[in-house]
Amino acid sequence: MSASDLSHLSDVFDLMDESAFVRGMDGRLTAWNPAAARLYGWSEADALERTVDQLFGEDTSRLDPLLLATGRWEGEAPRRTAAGTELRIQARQRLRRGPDGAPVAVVEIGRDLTAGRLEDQARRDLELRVASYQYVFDYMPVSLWQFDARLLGPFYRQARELGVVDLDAWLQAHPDIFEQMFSAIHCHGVNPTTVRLLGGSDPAEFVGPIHRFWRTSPDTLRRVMAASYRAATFHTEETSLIGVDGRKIDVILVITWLAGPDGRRFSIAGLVDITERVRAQKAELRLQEEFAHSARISMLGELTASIAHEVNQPLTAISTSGAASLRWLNRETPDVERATQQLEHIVAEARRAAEIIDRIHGMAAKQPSAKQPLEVETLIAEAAAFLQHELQAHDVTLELTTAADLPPVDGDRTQLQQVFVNLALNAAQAMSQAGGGDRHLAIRASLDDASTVKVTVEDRGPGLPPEGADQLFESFFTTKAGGMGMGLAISRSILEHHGGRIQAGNRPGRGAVFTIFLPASEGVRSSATGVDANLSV
Amino acid sequence: MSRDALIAVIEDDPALRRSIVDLVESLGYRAAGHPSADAFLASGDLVADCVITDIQMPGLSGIDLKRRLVEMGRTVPVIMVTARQDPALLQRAREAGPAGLLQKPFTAEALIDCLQAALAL
Repeated sequence: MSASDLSHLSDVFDLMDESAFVRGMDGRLTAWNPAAARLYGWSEADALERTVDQLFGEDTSRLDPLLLATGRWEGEAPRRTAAGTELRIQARQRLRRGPDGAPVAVVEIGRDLTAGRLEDQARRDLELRVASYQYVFDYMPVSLWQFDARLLGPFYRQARELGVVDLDAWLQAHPDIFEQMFSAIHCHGVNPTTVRLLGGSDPAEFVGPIHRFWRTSPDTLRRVMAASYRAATFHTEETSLIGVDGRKIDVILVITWLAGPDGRRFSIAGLVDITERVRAQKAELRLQEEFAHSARISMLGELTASIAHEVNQPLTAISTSGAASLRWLNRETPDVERATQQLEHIVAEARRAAEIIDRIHGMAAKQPSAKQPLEVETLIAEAAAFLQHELQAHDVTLELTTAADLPPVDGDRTQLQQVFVNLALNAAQAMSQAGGGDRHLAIRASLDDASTVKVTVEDRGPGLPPEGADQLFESFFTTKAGGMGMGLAISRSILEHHGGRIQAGNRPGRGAVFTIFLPASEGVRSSATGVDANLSV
Repeated sequence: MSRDALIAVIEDDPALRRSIVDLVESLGYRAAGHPSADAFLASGDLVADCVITDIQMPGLSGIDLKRRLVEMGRTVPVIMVTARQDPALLQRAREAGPAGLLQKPFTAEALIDCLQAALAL
């Protein structure tokens, strides 16, 4: 190495940012660069008069064994400044040996870790925090939006100048201003949950005006603006927005306004998807309605049972008084007076029974009814669905046939279904009681004439007793063990209430057939009446 | 049992009470109608030879009445009548030891048979 090379090296030694010094084996400093002077606070002159012990409080005899063995060492060395401040130095040392191989000097280059370490730590902490915020942003199952509403500032100022207090009301009165404001709100960014929630494919899709997602909830936006206007820090409400695919999404919106580091207010909005909850609520409501509807259909049976007690009283009185009056008349000397009294009593009790029956008919058929056009096919299908379990229990197969282009009928859905349920149930029970394997129930709807829909309910049971045909629809006529004989009477009341009628007969061969006539919702209703009037009583 | 036996008829429905009283009288017995078990107990008809009582009535029930009579040491036969079909109620009625248990609507013949059997005891 030439002398000029050496002087170059000296320049390097002076200019380098890292501290560098050379010490002899006695610990005395022989070279000390300006960076070392800056770091340790000792001038070159001061340093060169001292040993490392004096400078750093270090035991000079303690050279690292690795340095002695290999001539190199690298590691963290404790050092101290002239002011006594402890430093942690990342040091690299080289051992210089003389011609005889004996160590003569140690060269050390050092980098101060003390400050660097703090910086590193702070940076790492910050990175960690940013990463965890990013993590929260990315993975939290809440749709997060960063809104940019800076363009709303002039509108707010205008409102304030006009002395507006209730911005919500003011914007309702000025829809044009509201529309301008709505269009001025942009979105800076959204998280992946938002993309998923709204059925998008990339967060970039959402950057820009928010109008297209929120256009169906202007009221929400107006309330949010009003909250911002009155310097609220928080607003929440249940609302909905429109997904990329046009789907309505029910959400809880939470928006919070914060002051940024620069003092400017900014907002973050979070949306929690409650579509499922809302859907579940709606389904529950539907279920409740269905349940109530079913309960009303079942009421026919309940009604029949509940009147037992009430009707039994006059019935028992009638039969008892009848027997008594016979006894008065059958005496050796007939007591006509007592017999007459009892007969009068019978007439009165019969009237009382009739009144009870009238009341029941009233309850069954004259409940507040909501008549509306009803598709016969739907009507029957729903009644059949209601009976599904009962029919299965009786091992009955069901055949439903509906003619095409059947006009609707005007009626109360529940009441008419009561009729079908009752007829089908009677048929199923008749077939079940009779035993036998051929348990087929056919319900067929067709057009009787242009203005009348005809529904037949046919079974393959024992059929109707010929002697009972006239009483069939009278109250308390029953062929069923334990039956009350109210179902057909109530059914007839319901049908008459609907301007329809019912007739009964037997199928050729085996089984009973009930035929219902109901006026079509539209058209002339005169042509068919009277044809089967004799059978319907 | 002589034909002038006294039959107490306890029934809260006046029309039915009247019918039963009349039927009993048509058989040649004396009959006394009461609208409730309490009214019967308060009356002088405790000496009746047979009691025909409804089960479900305001106040003391027919079953309670039978128990009360037993407590009083009275062995008068009690025929119970009910419009209810509740098996538990019918079971409790049977356990009280009635001379007969009739379900409404019953036939006059059933009541007559029951009454004559009770009076023959």
